[in-house]
Amino acid sequence: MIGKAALFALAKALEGIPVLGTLGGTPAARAGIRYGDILIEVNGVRTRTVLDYIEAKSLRDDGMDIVVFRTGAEQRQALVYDQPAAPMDPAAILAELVTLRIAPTVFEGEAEESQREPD
Amino acid sequence: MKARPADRIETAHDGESGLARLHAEPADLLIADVRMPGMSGIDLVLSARQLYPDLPVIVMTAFKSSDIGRLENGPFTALLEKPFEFERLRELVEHALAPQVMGFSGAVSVQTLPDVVQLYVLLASTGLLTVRHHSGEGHLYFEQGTIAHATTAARRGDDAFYEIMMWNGGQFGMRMGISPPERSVVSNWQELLMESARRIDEARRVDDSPRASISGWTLAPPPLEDDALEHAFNVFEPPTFESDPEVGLTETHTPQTTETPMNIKDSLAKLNQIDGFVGAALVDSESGMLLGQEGGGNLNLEIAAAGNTEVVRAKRKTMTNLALKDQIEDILITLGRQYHIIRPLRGRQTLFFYVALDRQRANLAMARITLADVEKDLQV
Repeated sequence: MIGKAALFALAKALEGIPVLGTLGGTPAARAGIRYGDILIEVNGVRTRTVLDYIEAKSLRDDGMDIVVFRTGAEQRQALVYDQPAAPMDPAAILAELVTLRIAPTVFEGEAEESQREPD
Repeated sequence: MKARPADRIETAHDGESGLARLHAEPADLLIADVRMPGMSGIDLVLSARQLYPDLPVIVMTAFKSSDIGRLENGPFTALLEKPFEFERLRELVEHALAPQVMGFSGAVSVQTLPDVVQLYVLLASTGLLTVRHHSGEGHLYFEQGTIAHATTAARRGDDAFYEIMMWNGGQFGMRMGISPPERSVVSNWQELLMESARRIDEARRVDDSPRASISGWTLAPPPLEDDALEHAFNVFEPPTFESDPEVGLTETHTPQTTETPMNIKDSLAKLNQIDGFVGAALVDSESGMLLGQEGGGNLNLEIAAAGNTEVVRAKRKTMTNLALKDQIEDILITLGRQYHIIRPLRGRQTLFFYVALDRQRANLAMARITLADVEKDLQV
């Protein structure tokens, strides 16, 4: 389980964006994206800052191809947005955020579990 | 006069007999005329002070003479000019007999009034904040840290509060211990400040005129008639803020800003500059990723217990039940030690900025303005 400071340091070294978590039931969650991943590329564009992310994301409307760095290797994932797109529900996002951020133990537990799974 | 039950009023026909009574028994307050048969009121007060150095004094006079100056060094000396309203005398007496408020007074200058309001809220103050602006005067009553009552020439309640907050410069003075005569403000202070910040922000967007030199607030002496009550304030010229484009209401009006578009990286770095900044993240609800914001290495959102999740879930439920369809500009969550602000990016409603601030150090209004600025810079 990588600490937050280490995650940010690693992201900086790799010139990527640290993933702090995913919202439950979303394409990223289904694709197994999780805390500790470092987002390197979106839709073929290198993502060094969140601004890069915003721009790269806008290249497509139906989904995004991403490259994340995890445990020493790059992984490619194709995310397909839910159709029709879920209506904006900031409170739901907030709820998930809070859940995700409640305690590092949530992340730690997830990380331990997923490490037991074959990748 | 209408005396409170515990009050006892002793009268004397001239200075000498008054002094004799004071000798016999101490008093809480001395009210004297200046012109009296025999001993003058001034001499009476000075003699009385020999006996009781802390004795509050109200002196009545029809015209100010230079003799009055001899009373200046007293603990509480109010000058009541004749003719006077009886109500005025009652006020002075009440003030003189009120428990003395300990504390400091002095001169400060701030950029926005919400800062001042926040200060008195956080101090759990009760009192009247008088705000003077070229368009008129506004009154804000605080009661134990809540904003209870607000009036301007044309408005009252929440609307009056917003009107005052939109004023771009002037003077203010606070009189502690004054209770609101009525309650007209409905919203709580955080809603009021957030909404004020939003309105200030919008006004900035609309108004392109460079007016930096007249923005800013100074602490002012209270209205003239209250000189005797509030003798400790100093007046000074409102400072100009042109030399400091970093902060303030008018920063985006400086010509440089329009000639040189702000670097996006600088813009994001602005988040780190917010007072009390704890961390920030970008949330993409469409892909579902929660992305760390550069510079957010110390992101450590302290959320104490699962109870908070329940609170948020309840809020979500409420919003669903209300079928809230309006566009959400931002959401504020107040935790024990932190503020969390969530702001959707305009035009990309699936993207959110999520910023956590340390409550002790954060200035909510300014943080919100900064966040709005960053969001605006990201509209590329």
